[in-house]
Amino acid sequence: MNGGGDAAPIEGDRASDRESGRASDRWRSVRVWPSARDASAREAVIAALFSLGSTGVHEDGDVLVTFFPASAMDEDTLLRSVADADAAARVELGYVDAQEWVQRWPARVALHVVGALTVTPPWLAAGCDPARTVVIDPGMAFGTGDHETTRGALRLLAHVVRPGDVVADLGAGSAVLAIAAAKLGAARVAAIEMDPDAIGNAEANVMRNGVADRVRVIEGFAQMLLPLVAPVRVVTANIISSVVIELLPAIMSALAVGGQAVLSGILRDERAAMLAVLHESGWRVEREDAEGEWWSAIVAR
Amino acid sequence: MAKKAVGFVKLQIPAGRANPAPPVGTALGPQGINIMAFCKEFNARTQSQDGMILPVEVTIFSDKSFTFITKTPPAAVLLKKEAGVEKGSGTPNKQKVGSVTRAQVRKIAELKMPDLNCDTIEAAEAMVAGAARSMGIEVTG
Repeated sequence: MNGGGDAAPIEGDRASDRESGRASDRWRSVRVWPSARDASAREAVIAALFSLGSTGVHEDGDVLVTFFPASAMDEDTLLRSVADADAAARVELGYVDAQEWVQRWPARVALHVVGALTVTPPWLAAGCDPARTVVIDPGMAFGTGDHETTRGALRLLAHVVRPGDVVADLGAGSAVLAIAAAKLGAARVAAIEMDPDAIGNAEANVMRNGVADRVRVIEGFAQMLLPLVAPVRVVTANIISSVVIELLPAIMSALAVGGQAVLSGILRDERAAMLAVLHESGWRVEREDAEGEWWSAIVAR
Repeated sequence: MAKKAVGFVKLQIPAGRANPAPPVGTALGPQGINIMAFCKEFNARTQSQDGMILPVEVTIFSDKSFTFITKTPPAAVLLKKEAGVEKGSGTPNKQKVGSVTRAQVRKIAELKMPDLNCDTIEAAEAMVAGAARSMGIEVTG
């Protein structure tokens, strides 16, 4: 990891690339017009695109649109696979700048007052008390305060974090919860995130909030990294219920005596099932929070 | 009063694995909706079908809120999974690539029923069996 502020220019360029939340790769766009013969040609093309590693297909009218990182796409293999699926399909290849689509939505991000804390994008931060404000630059990472799960976790975190606490934030995204924990008094916070596109944004947010001495962003899988930062007094995990459930045993072993965890990213209609799992695995639910269709909870071992 | 729909986007994404990279970002970004929120909700709602490719239809309203419905995976995808084959046959009449049992056809028909224009499970089974034949997958048993 690059720890110094004296990076060579090329490193600096890359750092600013990451800071703005941009994927550094250029993307190849692939547009396919399947032959109108029948629906099976269309389905075969979609299947071929997925088997080449596509992470999704946009059905834009009759056209099928997908993307591959430029570094990972082999044009010949692609054209051959599509032709195998539908010999009469027309294919158009292009480039797209990764930055283009990310920049469209940040303008809508608002300032949110959540209990004692305020979460805001940088351009609305003027006049906010830095000690109680978490500034998040909206980018390719989850957690701007705009989502109910982030706000639910923040409300609960305020009940949990005590001065001097050691905290682990699993699936940190923008690091919004990790930064909030530091502002609430935590002495040390490990912000663990597996998505490389989110890491740059998380690191920039940590710097921007002046908590780099307390919050460390670590790239990797929570399952593997949590034991390395244990014991911790508090764990936060705003992910999705299946992943939270998978992580429960690791969270339990990582928590110090008297430790607490804030669990979020759980749909309200998953509450009963979640409570059953928690009860079975020896957790006590100390407090619940719900907003919109989302549910969060403080649990203790 | 009902909200006014201003946009409609159709995607196919693996269950539980939506992320803001293209095509999700490129398709939904221009609509002005919160892409991260869509990914979070899609993943939460589809996590039990992890990895299965799901058609999803997103409706965007004038206040930039959105709603989405997921459809069942295409019959071809389900048939390939049941038959354990990578791809269908290019010449389904001559070359068979695998087989599924009647029971497997029924299982797929039951799953697909909500999205098929069929009144009875038998009609849905006939449709699934037809799709199987057209990909060179035999129906046995």
